[in-house]
Amino acid sequence: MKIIKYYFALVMLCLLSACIDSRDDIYNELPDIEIANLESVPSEVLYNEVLYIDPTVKYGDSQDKEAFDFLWYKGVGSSLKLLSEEPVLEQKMDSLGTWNIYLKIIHKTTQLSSLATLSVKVNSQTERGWYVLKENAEGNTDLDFFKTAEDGKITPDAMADLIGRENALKGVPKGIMFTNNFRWKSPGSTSFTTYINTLIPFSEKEVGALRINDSKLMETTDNLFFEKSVDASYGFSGGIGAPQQALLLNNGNAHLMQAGMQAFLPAVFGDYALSPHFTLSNAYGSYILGFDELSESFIYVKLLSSSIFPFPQKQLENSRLSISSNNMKGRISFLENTDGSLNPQNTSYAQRAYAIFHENSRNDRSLLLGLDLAQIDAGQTTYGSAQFNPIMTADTLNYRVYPEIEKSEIFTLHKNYPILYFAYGNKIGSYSIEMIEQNRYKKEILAYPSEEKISYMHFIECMFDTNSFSYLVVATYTADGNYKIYRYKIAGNDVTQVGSPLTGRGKVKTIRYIAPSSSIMFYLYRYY
Amino acid sequence: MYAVIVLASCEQVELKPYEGDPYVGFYDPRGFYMKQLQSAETNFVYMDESIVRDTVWFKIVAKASIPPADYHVKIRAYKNEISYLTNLKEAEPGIHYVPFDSKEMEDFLILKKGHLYDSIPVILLRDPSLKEEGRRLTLRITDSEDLKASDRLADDDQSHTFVVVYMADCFLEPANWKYSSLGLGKYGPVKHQFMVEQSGERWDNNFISTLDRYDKTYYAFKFRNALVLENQKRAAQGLPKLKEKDGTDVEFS
Repeated sequence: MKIIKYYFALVMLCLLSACIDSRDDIYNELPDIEIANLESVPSEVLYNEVLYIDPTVKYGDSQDKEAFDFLWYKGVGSSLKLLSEEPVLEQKMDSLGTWNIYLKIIHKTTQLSSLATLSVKVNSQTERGWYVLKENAEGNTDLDFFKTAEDGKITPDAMADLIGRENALKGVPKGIMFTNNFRWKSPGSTSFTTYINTLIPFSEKEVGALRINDSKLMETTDNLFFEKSVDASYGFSGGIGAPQQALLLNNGNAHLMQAGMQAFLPAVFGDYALSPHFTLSNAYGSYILGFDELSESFIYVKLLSSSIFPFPQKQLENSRLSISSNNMKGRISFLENTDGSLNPQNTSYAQRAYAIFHENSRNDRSLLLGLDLAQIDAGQTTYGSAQFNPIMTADTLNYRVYPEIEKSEIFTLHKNYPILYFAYGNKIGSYSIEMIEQNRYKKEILAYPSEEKISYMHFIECMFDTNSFSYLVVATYTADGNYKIYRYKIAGNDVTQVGSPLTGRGKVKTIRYIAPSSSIMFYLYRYY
Repeated sequence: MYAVIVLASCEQVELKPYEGDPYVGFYDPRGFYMKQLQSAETNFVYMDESIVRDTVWFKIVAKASIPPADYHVKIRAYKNEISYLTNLKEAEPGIHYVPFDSKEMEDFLILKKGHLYDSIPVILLRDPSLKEEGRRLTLRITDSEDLKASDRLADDDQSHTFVVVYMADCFLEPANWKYSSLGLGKYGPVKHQFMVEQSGERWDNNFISTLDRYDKTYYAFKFRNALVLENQKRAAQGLPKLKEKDGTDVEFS
């Protein structure tokens, strides 16, 4: 027993002595690498802004960045993409969405490392504001954009030439359409991205699809048709973007693009040549109302129409006229919608349009035709839905009485009242359709300096954004190649300018106000 | 003592290799149980006249064990009465396909040694009768001297899993024509040929299955327009409108 005790004591002694620190080996704990000065990094930036991050590094008592390697990464799916190896990150934020940024700092001598992560959301710069389709100095088509904040404040300096000078659409501008549901397969991708907010600007020769969020021109002309033109001879003259489909006129023929598609279908079959003037009712599934210059008839186009349809001759009971909408022996030079009913039997349906009609046999007057838009609303099963002739009224615009109207080439309607605005040279007048003769005509309500000629005028009513507005918008251009855009509030006879004019280079053809609102599609009809 | 007991209880167990019967079945690419596991189609109408044979392949899978040697696979044709199959007459051995018990097929109906998956062919013959109508060939696996059929839930043909081949040398209604919402109206061979000529596409099962709703809208537009032009051309030549053999007008609606 004694021997066992001695043996046990010896073993314990050996064990204990092995645990005593050697006086000659002192272990010094290494400090941690501390990364700081990341608190000031913004959590949100704008698309294409340069993000600047200058972290400080503390390692014990030292803050010498030279002692470290810096690796900046962006999380891409489940992998990491190296952004930079510099101590200071200067990164152009060139894609929308949330960027997960990782910083790894490695001490060069000890190879100790530390990691910091941060998230930065990249927001679009171009999702809210005024898009200006213009003719540039070369006679081609481009887009300027005036950014607008949620409170309506407009940044006066335009983001100019969004399509880009070298990519500008060839030929003079003709129009622009909007859809919230364009689909696109980006290069290298095997599937479509859908519901892309897209502008479709078109010139006389080309058409493009511009993604609004980042102003990327996704596709142009050939790739925007299921069947490309055999000889690449395109002649675009007009178009309209309805909620369910867009219609583009190519050499007088209608090509449709249903919401959700990526291209225009082959032309609607038939013998026709459509005028570039179209309008819609406020119904989401509204037919498109237009005019066929071949048959000289008002027509309508349904969703994915297999043909162009004329209206029947049957008149609504309360129509004061018997002017047929077919074989009218003339042409139209204007067509737009406004509020209000023209059918006393259907006053609850408050949608109408007016067209300026020129008879082939007369050059001393034109006719202002009032059209009942219930005829292009399939939901109006009793008094509408293409069962009747849409022409309800006709005002004679005698040029001897209204010489300024004869001189005018640009017209627009107030969207709430039946008031026609006409622009001639550098002046604007108004014609109140339902007022008595003495009070209805004002040959001049606005005038600009003589060097400014009016190139665009439209009543733009925006009810789909945080800052709603109703403005008469006028664009002028001068011989030195500049444009100005004016906005006016109209209250009765009062016309009040809002803000300062927006300015840019080129000649304005048309303007769209866009906002990131899902209800924008319900108000597209206001542009027509 | 407890430690000794615990230590003594740990021993390596040897896994014994499977020593039961080897099985084989047709591969199910969808991974859930349906009687029709695979299908194939051949239409000689798209091929040069000089081509008189074509082969379709069916994937098979070894079950229970990997074969240690080449095993013969036995398949049998039978008349299947399932309603969703395209209603065609049965193909006849030696006329429409090389019989499975022929010398030629012996070397092909094999599940090869060491293979979990393999493929077996069905060699189709371009018989003149296929110009008049298509034929259907339904196949099941049965027990061979080397392998058992893996589907043993039921042995009567109608309850068994199967693969099917469709063959023709004329335009045949694709199996997915009716339920693909093509918007092209009732099927007809003359219509089918017209569509092939206008689009350069086969408009068979495989092609139709690649179309989304917008592709279908495009083709509906395209064919409607093309048919109007075709009928105009025919009228100018004193010919009637394009019609099916039974006299009904070809229409896309």
